[in-house]
Amino acid sequence: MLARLIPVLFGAGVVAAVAHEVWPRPAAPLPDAAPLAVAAAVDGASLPPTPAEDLLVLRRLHLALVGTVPSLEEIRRFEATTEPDRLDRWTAQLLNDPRHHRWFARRLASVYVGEADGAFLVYRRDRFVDFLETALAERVPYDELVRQMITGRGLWTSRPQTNFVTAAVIRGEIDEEELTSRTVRAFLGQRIDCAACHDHPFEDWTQDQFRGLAAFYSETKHGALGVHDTKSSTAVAAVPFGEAYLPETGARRERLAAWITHPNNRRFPRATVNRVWTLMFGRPLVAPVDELGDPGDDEDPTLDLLAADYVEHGYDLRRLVRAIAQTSRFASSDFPVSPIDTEQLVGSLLQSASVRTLRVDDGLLVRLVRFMRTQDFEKNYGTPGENGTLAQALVRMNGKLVTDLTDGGPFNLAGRVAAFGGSDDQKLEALYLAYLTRRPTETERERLLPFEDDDAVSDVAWALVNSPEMSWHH
Amino acid sequence: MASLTRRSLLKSLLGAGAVAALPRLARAERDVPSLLVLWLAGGASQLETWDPHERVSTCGVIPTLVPGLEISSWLPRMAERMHHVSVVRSLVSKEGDHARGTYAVKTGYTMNPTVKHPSLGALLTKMAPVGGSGLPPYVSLGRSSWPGTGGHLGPAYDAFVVPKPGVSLHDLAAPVDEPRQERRLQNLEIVSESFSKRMKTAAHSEHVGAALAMMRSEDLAAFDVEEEPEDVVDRYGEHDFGRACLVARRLVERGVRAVEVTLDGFDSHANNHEAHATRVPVLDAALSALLDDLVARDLLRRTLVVVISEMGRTPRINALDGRDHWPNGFSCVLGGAGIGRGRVIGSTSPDDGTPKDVVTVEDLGATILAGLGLEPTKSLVTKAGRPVPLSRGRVERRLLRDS
Repeated sequence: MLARLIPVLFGAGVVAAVAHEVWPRPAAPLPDAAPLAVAAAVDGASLPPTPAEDLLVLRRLHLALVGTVPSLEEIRRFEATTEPDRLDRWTAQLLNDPRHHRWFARRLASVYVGEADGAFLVYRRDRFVDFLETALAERVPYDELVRQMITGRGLWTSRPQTNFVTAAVIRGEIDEEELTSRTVRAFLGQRIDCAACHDHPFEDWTQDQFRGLAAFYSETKHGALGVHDTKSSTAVAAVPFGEAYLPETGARRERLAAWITHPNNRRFPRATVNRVWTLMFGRPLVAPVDELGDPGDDEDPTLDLLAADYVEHGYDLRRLVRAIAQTSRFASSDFPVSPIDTEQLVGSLLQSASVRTLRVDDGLLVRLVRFMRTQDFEKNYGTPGENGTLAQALVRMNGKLVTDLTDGGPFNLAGRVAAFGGSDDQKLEALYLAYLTRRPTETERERLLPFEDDDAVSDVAWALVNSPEMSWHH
Repeated sequence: MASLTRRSLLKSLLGAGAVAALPRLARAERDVPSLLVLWLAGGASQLETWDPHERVSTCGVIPTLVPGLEISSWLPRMAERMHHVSVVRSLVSKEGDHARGTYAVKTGYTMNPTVKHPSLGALLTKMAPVGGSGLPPYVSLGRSSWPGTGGHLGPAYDAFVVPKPGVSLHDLAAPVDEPRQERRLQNLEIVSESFSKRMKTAAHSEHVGAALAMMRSEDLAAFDVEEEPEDVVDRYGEHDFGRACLVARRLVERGVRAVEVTLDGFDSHANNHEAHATRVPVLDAALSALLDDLVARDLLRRTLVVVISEMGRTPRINALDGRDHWPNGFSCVLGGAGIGRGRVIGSTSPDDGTPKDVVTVEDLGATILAGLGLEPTKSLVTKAGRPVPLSRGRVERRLLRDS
C-alpha cells in the first residue's frame, strides 16, 4: 500500500520540483461529515444498487461541484485517505472550496438569467456571479438569497443582486413578463410563461393568472439610480395558487418574495431540489427541470423527502448537496448517462493536462491565458446534445486547444509524463487517472504499451480526450 | 496553416483504406433551392448602401439598370446588376440590440424564452435534407458572434463554422502525420471499447467516423480556392470576404443547402463614413462577382441570395461622426430562386427616415421561405411537443417571381 502511494512518476531528478504536486499531502484530516438520515430515507427499503468504484463517484462529485474532473494530485490525496466515509468527508470539503462556490454561482446564474449577455450597460453577468459566489461562500440560506434577488433595489454595481432584475431589461425597459417568467421558472419550477400569450395548453394556467403575477413587478423601474419602485401601478397583483402564503400588506415585490419563499409553499423547495439534483446527476429528478406538477397531485417521494429535510434545516444548499451525494443512487454503478456540458469539458481538458490542481485564485495572467485559449473551443463546440455533432468531433480531434494540451511539450501532463522517467505502466496510469479518473484495464495496458517513442504518450492522451468516456457523465 | 492544395490536403489525411466513393447528388435534389445569406454584421447603414438620400447620405447617389432605382456610389458594380435582384427599403424589426436583432432577422421570430427558433438556413436544411455529400449541409463562413443555429431542432442543425474559408481548414485537418493519426485512431478504439460496451454511445463513434469521412472527403476541396483561375479570385476581391464568397459559390455548386457569409464592422457609432467607405466596396466586388458566376452557371434560379443586416443606422449623425442603431426602416437585397427581379418595395423619408409600406422581419422570413418553395405556415413540432410554424409572417407576394 505504501509503495503504491509513492508515485515514482517523475523520476528521481525532478522529484524535488514536481513531486509535491503529485505526492499526496500528509493526510490533512477531512472534515467531519455525519451521515444524513434523509439520504437513508430516500434509499428506502429497496435493495441497494451495486456501488460504483470510489474514483468514479469522485469524478461525479467533481464534475458536479467544481465543473472539472479531479486532478491527479487530488486523486492521489483521496486515495491516501482511508476512512470508510471518505467520500462524504471529501464532499464536505469540496463544499468549502472556493472553486465550488464559483462553479455553482455560474450554474445558478444560468438558471436565473439564462446564457445571453443582455442589454449591455445595465446588466453585468460577472458582477452577478460574484454576488452569488459570495452568498454561497457565506452560506446564505437560499430563501434569503432568493428574496434578495427579487426585491433588490439600487445600482447593479453596488447592489449586484439587482442584476437579476436588470437582466430582464429589453429595449431599455424592464420587461415584466420576461422577469415574471424567469422568476417562476427558476424559483417555483413552473413554466407559466406560455400563458403570457394564451391560456396554457396543458396545465391550468390562464392568461389572467399570468398577468396577475406579472403585476407584482409592475411598479419596478430602472433609471439613473438603478432599480427602484414607483407607486404608480393600478394593475391588480394576484397569485395563481397558495393565496394563504401571500402577505396582505407591503410593497409588491416584498409580497411576491414572501409568497414564493413561504415555508408552506412546497413548489419552492421542490424546484430547488430538482435543480440541484440536475447539477449533480446531469439530468433532473423530475423532467423537465422547470415544469413540476402540482405538489398535491404529483408526489415524488425522493423529491419530497429531500425538500422537507432541506426546508427543515433552513434552506441549506450545502446540506442538500451532501444529502443527494449520500444517496445510494448517486454512488450507484447504474448512473444516468448524459453528456457533460462544454464548460465542464473544457475545464476537464485544462485540468487533466495540468499536473497540479487548478485554483480559482490562480494569477490573473494565468486565468487570462486560460480564458483566451478556451474561447475558440467553446464557440466552435457549441452545446453538446444527446448525440453530439460532427463539428464537435472535429474540434475534439483536430482543434488547437486539444492539440496544445496533449502534445509533448514540457508544460502539459503528456509531455511531463513522457519526459520524466518511471515505467510505462506508471506513465499510463497517470494519464488514465488524470483524464478518465480510473486505472487502465489489463486489456488496455496490454494493447497500449509499450510506448514506442515520446509521441506515443501524446497519442494516448489524444485518444483519452476523444473517448466517449471523457465526454459523458456516467 | 500553409496554403492547401488538394494534393497536400490528401497527404495530411489518413492514407490507409480506400476513400469511399461518395455518391453524387441526384438530379432532382440539385434543383431544390439553396439559401445564401451575406450577413453585414453590426448594422449596415441603409443610407450608405441601398437607400441613399441626397444631402443625408455621406456617399454619392448613382442610378442603376433598374429604372428609378438609385443606390450608393460605393456600389458601382452592383448598379449594373440590380436588375437581377430586388430591394426592400422598409424593413422593420422591434429590436435595437445586436443579439436580439440578429435573432429576429435570422429566424424571423422575436426572441422568447419558451422556444429556441431555428435560423432560416436550418429550417431549409430540415425541410429539404441533403444526402450523399462529404460536406455539412449548413455552413457559416467567416467569424460571427451568432452563427446560424438549429434552435429547437438541435445542434446537429447548427451551421458548421469555418472562420477563415479559403485560407485555412481550421479543424478539418489532422495536426499530425499519417502514421501518428493511424496510431491515434487505433488507440481511440482501444480506450473506447470497455465504455462503449456498457453504454449506448454509438452516436459518438459515428461522429468520429463522419468526421474522418469529412476530413478525407474530396468534397473538402470546395473550401480550397487554389483551383480557381486567378482572374476569378481577383474579381471577388483580395480580401477575406471576397474569398469567402467564392468558397460559398463553390459550396452551393456542390449542393450545400445553406451558406451564410459574414462581413463584420458595420456597427459605425463613430466614423460612419469611413467605416462604410472601406467596407461597402468590398461588398460591391464580392456580391457582383458572385451574381455573375451564379448567372453564368445557371445557378441563380436555384439559389436564393439575401444581403442583410440585423438593423440599419440613424439618419442623424452623432457627435462622433457616426450613426446609431435604427431598426425602423432599413434595407435588404434579395434575389434568385423564387424571388422576382427588379422589384423595389417600400421607401424611407429623406427627412426623418420613417418607412412607408412596412415589411417586418417576420414577413421577410416568410417571403424568403416562400421563395425557397416552402410553405411558411407549416409547423415543426419541438421536442416538448409544441408546434412552431416555420414563420408567423405574411408573405410579401410582390417580391415573388410570377410563376
